[in-house]
Amino acid sequence: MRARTRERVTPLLFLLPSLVLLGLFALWPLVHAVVMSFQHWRILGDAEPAGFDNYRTLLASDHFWVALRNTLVFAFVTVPLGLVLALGSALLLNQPLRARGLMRGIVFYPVTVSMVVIALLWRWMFSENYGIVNSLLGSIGIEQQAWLSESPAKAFAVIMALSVWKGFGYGMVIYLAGLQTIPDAVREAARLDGASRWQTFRHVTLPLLNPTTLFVAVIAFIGSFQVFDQVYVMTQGGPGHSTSVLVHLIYELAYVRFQMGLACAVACVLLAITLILTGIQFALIRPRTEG
Amino acid sequence: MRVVWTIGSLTAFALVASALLGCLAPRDDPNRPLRLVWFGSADEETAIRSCVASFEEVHPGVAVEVQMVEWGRFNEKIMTMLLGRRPPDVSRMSVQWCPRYESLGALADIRPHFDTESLEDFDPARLVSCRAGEKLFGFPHTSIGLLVFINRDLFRAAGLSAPSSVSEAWAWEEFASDARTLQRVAGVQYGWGVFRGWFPVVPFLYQHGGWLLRDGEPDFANAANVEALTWFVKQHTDGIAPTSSWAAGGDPAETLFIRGDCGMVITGNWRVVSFGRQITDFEWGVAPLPRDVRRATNSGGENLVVFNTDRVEGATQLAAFLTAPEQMEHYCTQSMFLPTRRSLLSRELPYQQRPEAMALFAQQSLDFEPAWAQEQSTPQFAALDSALVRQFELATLGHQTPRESLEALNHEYRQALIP
Repeated sequence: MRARTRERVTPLLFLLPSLVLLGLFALWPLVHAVVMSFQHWRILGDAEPAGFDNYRTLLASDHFWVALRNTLVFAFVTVPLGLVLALGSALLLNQPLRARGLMRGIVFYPVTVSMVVIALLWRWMFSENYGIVNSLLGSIGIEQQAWLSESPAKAFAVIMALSVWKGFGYGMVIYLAGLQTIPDAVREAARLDGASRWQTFRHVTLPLLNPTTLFVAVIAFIGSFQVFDQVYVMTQGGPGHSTSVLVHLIYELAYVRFQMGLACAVACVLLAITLILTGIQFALIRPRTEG
Repeated sequence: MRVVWTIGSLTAFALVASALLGCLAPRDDPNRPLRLVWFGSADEETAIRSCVASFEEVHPGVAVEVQMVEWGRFNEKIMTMLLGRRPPDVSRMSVQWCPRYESLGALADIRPHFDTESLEDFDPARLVSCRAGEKLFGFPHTSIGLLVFINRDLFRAAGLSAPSSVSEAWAWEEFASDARTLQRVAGVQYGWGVFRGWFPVVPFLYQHGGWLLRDGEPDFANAANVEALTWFVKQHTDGIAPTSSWAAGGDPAETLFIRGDCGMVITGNWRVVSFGRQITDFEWGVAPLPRDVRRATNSGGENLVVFNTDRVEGATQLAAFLTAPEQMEHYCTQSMFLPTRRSLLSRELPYQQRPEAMALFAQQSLDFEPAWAQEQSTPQFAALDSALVRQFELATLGHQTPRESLEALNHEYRQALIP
């Protein structure tokens, strides 16, 4: 009896340190944020019960809907684009090319650099008066553009381009690992059966990469919903709120306006959206990975 | 197996114990050092450390711990300290933020610890920002003001001369005309510009006879303000001033000025040192702000506020010492700020750099009326900071009309303190 109890409890003890840390620093703040989303609290003083006031305020706020739309656009543009680029570059750099390691390093390098640094560099590159992009466009007769100040669409396009460029190297590395787990014999068999290169890729390589795609897509989606640094550095959500995203809205509500309850309500909405979309991705891709 | 049990139990106990200990409020220690929170440049840090050293010399046995924080993260830092029940005893604080912390109950009433008659030397327009009704929660320390920084080489090339005293200030149309001449004759891309912020825009509203509040209610969209903002926006849409400076991601007007692409820029005394260092290929100077129906500027700066801690008396002594004439003069002349004491404003101070520019800043600072300080010292106005910038940005970039922006500000002011 005692031995059996020990057998049950021992794994739990090994897990305990991690569980305590997760509970203290992840689960408890999460629960607390959900509770706070039903309260009015301006940091100092006592929190007051608010019922669904914060959620009603959000639903009536244009800023929230703009931020939600931008976040969804950002996720649904940058994630697929990033996946395609990651897979493409992984396929290319999986070939026996000269200086392959160097090229892999070059593609991966932006992942290692701080987003704030990269965003500042891009801000200078896209400067209306001094940017290299306008300078290059000028050299072929295209008039200078106010990339980050005139039109929200242009500014957001620049932010998305930066995010894809900075992030796809990470997906590439995961895809490279995935590609190297596919036995050559499988592809060889397909070729012997008369499959073209495209057919081999479409019907052999791609399905075998489904677990990798699931992993990269889920991580990229979660990351894309947390977009903040590049928006903060490049446009601060402007002009007006036109390039604001949900995390930027949370920041502004919490640390500029000190409306903690409202900020937590946005955070809860963001959590719900992330969970739902992650669930959908699992539902769509997972059956294929288990086939 | 016993080892696993022991390690597991000890780890769990250590984690839970440290978490619980971390949650305990720190115990008050009457002999602890006074905590002073400060933000600013390296010059300012040197200056305040020197003033603090003088305080410690005069008050043996009283230690002061200076904690430097980034200006941009000041609110986050102070809020975190307040939540951790370990607020500073004294902090430097921008005037617009003071009413916000006062309304949250974080600041102490220092009147019982201080002879209020000695306040008479402070600039009344600045003292307003240290009061909440009868309560006094700090002392004005430094002031900031605005002037027009001019590229003298371009002025010479265009055959223009700039006014040198506030009594000779440009009228708006003269200012715009000189800016256009700079573009046309001297070939500069922009005639004038202004840094992205509400601080340099509000003087244009005042200069045109406008106001922000009436009887405590927001009245941003009054006719004078609409006309003034329309003129201001038109200067940008006509290409005289750079529109791109108004977007967060655009090119700041000061950068355009430094690079010689903007003939004049309206900015503050905090730029005197950096312009002196960064501008090497042309001669620059300062001129008074333009005027319309009246002269007007904006005044901001920093107060030294005392927080509600167990050391209010000692903290008040520290704040009073740091704002005494001798220390204030030392700090201001070392770090290029304007003083807040009339006895210092009325005489030329030995500034390390460009004393003539600082004298003009002091002269222009008198064009800020106490009533304007009053309307900029409400908790709602402090909460309006980012909304003001956003609404002026939307108008200047042409996303909405000046009237729409000003009406939106009326709405935002009313909403500012709703939880």
